Amino acid sequence: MSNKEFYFAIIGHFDQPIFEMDFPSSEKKSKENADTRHLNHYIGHAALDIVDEYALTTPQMYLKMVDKFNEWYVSAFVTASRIRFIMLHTQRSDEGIKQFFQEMYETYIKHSMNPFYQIDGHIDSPAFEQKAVLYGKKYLS
Amino acid sequence: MKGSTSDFLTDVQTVNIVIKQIGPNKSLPAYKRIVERCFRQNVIQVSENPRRLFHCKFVPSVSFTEFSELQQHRRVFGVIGVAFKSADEKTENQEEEEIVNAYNKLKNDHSNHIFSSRCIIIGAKQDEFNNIERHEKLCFPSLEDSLELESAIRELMHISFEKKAEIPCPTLPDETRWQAFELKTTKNYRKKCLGRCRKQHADFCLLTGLPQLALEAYEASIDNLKAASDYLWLAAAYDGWASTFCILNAEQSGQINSGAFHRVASMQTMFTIPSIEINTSNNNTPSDSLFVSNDSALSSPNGHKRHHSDEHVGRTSSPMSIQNGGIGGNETPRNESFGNESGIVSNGSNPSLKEEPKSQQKKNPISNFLDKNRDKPPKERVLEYYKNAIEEYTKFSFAGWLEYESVMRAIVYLTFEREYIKLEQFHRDHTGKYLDDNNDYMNHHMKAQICLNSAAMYKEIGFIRKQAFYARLSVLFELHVTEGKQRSASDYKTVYPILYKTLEGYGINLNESTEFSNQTIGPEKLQIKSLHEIFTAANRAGHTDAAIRHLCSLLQVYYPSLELSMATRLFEDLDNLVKTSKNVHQLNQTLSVEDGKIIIPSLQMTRFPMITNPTVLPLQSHLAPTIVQNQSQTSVFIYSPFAKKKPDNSLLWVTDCPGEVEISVKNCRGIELIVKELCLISDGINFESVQARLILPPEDQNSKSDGATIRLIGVPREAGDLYIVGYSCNVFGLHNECRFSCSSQKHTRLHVKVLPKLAKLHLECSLPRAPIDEFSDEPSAEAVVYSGQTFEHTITVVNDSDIDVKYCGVKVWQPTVQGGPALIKLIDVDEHLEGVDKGEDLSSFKLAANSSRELKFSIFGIDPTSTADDLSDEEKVLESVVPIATTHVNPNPEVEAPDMDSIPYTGRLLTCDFTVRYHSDVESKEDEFYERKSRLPIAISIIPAVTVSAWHVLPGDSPFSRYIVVDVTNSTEHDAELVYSANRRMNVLPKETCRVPILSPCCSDVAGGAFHQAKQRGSHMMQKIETERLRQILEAHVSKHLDIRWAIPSQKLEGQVPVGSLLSSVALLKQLVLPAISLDFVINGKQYVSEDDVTIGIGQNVEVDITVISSLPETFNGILSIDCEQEISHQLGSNPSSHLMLLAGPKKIPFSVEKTKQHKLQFNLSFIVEGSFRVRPQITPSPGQSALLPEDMFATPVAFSVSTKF
Repeated sequence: MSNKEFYFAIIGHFDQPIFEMDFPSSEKKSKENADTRHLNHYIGHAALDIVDEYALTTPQMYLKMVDKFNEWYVSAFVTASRIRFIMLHTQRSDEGIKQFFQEMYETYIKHSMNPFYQIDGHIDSPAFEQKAVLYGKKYLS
Repeated sequence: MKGSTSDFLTDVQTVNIVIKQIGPNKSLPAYKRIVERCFRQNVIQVSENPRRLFHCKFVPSVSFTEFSELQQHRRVFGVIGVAFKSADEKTENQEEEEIVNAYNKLKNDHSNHIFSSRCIIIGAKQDEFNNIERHEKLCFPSLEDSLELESAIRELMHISFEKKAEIPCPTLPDETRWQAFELKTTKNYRKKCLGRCRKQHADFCLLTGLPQLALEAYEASIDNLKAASDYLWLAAAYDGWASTFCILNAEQSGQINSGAFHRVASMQTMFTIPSIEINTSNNNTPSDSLFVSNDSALSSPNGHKRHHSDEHVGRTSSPMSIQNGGIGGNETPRNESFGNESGIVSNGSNPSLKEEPKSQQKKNPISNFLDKNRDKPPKERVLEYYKNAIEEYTKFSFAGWLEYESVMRAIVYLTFEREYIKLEQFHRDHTGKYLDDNNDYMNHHMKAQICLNSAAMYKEIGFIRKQAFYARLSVLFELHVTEGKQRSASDYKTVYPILYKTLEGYGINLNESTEFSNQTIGPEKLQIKSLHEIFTAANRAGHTDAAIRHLCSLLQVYYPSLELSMATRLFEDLDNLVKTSKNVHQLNQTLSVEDGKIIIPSLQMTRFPMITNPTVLPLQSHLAPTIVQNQSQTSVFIYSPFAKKKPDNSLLWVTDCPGEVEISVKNCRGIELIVKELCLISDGINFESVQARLILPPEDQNSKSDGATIRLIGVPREAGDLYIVGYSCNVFGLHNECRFSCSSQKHTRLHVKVLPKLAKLHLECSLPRAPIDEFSDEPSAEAVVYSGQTFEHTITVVNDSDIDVKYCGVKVWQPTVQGGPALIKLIDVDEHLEGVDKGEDLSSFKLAANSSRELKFSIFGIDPTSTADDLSDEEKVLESVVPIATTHVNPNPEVEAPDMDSIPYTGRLLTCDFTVRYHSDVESKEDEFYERKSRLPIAISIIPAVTVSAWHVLPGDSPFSRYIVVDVTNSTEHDAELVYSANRRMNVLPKETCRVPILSPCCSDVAGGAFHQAKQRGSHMMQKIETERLRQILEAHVSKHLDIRWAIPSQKLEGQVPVGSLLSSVALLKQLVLPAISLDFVINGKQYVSEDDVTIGIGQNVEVDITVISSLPETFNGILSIDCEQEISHQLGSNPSSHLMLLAGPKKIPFSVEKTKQHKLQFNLSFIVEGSFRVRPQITPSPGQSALLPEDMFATPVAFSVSTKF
């Protein structure tokens, strides 16, 4: 697969995705992805075991590439509160993904400080999505 | 698929023995039993020192036998045929021939490899089947009599071990196809032969329990094969070396149990297995016996717990527990772990548990040997050798499966090392290519097997999400169909258990109770998809019940998250499945699928419908019992609140009396929901629940209602504690049983105390029935009376049950009247039961079962305009303490709405109750009764006829009498005739009022200052009580004279004017008290009658003789004087005008009057101007006398009309 494709998900403490986004994001793309997104769910969910194992053995938040299945690489980032960021990508770009994770981590921290947001709750915030789109364009293109 | 991932490793030291069922008669259970018994003999000890174990595996078939020269563990060393002879003698010969042929064929199939074989024949005698070699024949009359089977199997294993096979120069069967022609005289060929022979030698060493020798042989073969560039054999040698090292390492750390014996499954088997001797190859200790231990650990030694990578990796080695039976004398501490050789003990020795391991670090002899002879190879070398083996195998496409097995052995090694991150990476790097679509060597079935192996491996290390992923991947491969083929039900039967085991990986636990909270835990979309997949697999596999259960789980838990189209489709699927199902699916029962391998738990479908807020309702008021404590047995601690334990009467049901539970029912679907057979589930006592059928309307999205409230009915059939735990219903054609849950999501059960069966009374009345309260189904009655009328009626207390009533008390609740007769009065009921607290009951009696009792009562039409209940307490007090000479019926006219005048007053509806409380004659605790109450409300409509509208008190014809002037109003449309004061008559026109004067003597029973003294009492209540007492005395006195009867001849009605309101007026009654001092006037020698003006002229002398009469108990001394006031006009009132009155003689006259005596005084007076004058006497008490109150003195002012002419 020559195109760069990314699927980003924030995974809560009960393995539930609390935020998902595809990059590059376009309406046509998202319609196509809606049908095949569950494949990404399966791959990302299966990678959580090795992410948890990494999280136990390494102090780093950014875990680089932790898994691979077919054309999909899986990179991960674990926050201090054990919220897991998963990125499925078709091409290696460790530095961009690292930057993206860092920025999204800050955005998530700010969002989680909202007293009306409950930890592990689904993130339904247009501002959060805009930030994700912005950082996606900046680091994942 | 391997039973465990570590089997990849242990297989390399295990010998294969094929066991098959042969002959015309087949018996699968018996065959499985024999296989199981053989399988228990999978390890024998062939040498004591060094300790050598010989492992065998009993399998129905062996794959990849073409590589048996390359890897000896793939070789078949023996075969066992299992036949069952029938009892039919006719076909005996033919059957024998078939069994012999089948056995020979089995041997011929493996003739190239096997060392020995056996034929087990069940149902035959030893002298039969002579066509089979005697030593190969194992005939047993029955399976139960085959006690020597185990020993025969072990003998076969020994033969397999001891057989000296002549090993030719090893080559693979088809090796010439890919090997170029090679001269046998070259040095390279010799090295190759040498290397291969050493490789085989190493294999045999490993197979015969000499791993340390195998390691050396493998090392030597690697050198030779590397030099000879014999890559396939080199790969096998690398693989062999690494595997042998892993086995040693794992055995040392106790991670595999290659030395363990299977435990005996039952006591029966244990006792029937005789001890056998182990003929070791290198020592002569025939007395050493082998016992099969049954005290090994219960847990599987292969079981693996998830360990984190940062956990301490090292494990202490477990020493062996072989005792040398006194020969060596070295007592090795016994290890209780099943993973080691705990099953082997010396003959007759008693394994003592007291002997603790002396050193945890003590290694087995093999390891010691290894450590002594060479340095321990680094662990990296093992992985490196595996990688070398894999790399060499890669060069030969036909050896793909060998390569894969080598990969898995490396993974097993990493599992033992707990290098999970490395493991995952290694697995990912090396297994990916097997699953690639371009890999044509492996078909989809093999790829599915690879995925399953990976899933099993991940499960062992605790990566359940990875396990779920690979298990699901294996299903995809398994269900892959080539063109022209279709998936069959058997395919889905194969994948169903695999899919079921993936649920845990996606966070689905079917054992958890599923509430209808809209929050699910875990990856919801994946969970929905997984459950839908497993539903589809179960459906297509023909597991209808399992499919229904999974579908219901999906709908129950994830309904709010499902799209409408999907939810509709699922409901249609459910409907179709239910229609195809023969029996009603029971959601409350566990399901067993695949011969019990999968147990699907029960399900509570609480979402359809949503039933919340269960509340147990008390029985209806006439059925609700109360527990009454016997007052005669009160505690001695009468003032202690702790001693008063009141029984809990909040919720009591009665046996055989229907009770109700209120619930809220809601349909969360967009279409109508039909719920059938909805009833309660109870615990504790026998309870019959009545089934209900509901048709719930679709949910209204706009309104957030909690649903409809309904009541479920049930009848308790015995006394005791009843617990209502849940409900059952039939919804979507499924039987559903659920527990009640409250708002805190915890299961709750409702407790109700059920009393024994009690008597039931009801009341019947001679009055007609009338509905009073729409919510009450109690009987009720009504009556219409004119005020002042009296009627007699009867009320009947009926006991329509089979239980006696030992106490029945009748009480009447009615509007309180403070004066005059009551509204309802029981007649001739003075009897009371003794020994029972009758309380406020008017009458009490016993009532036998199925009997009744009649009571008479009278209804009196009280004055409908006012009852004591109309007044507040404060108003009543005010009325009693404020002296009012004249009053009106309406005590508080300001409250009366002015527009009341526009509505004609036609009567008043009063309600009263007959209340019967009764105690059933049933067994109860000593100090308790079960009391029920039955009531009969009566609505009495009172129509005003002739009533009192006002009254006045005027002086009578003497100081000792008063005129009570009563204004009587005829409220009817007809002429009324009044009869009063015995024989006086008067006619009253319709709607007219007439004044009736009634002369009443003053009451001497009440002292003049009694009311004043009552007001001086210490408390308000005491004042009230004393005032009421005085009122009752006066009422009794006055009511004798206030007998006014009315009659309406045209309507043939008659009655008594109700004077209750008059008699309740304290102000009026006070006037009838004989005053302390009364004054009687005689004007110019003529008795003065009240309110008569005396006409005199200006300056005319008037003699006023005053008689002072005292009713005081003591002598009263005072001074009498007279005052004068002039009446100006009716509006302006009067002015003091003593200066217009001339007194001749003394102005003030002292007097002294004794009790009941009189004292006469005289004044002479004249007026100097014209006008109307009133002369009032004034009494001034002498010093030392108490002052007189206004009401203490009764004196009518004397009115004079003064004119110039007379």
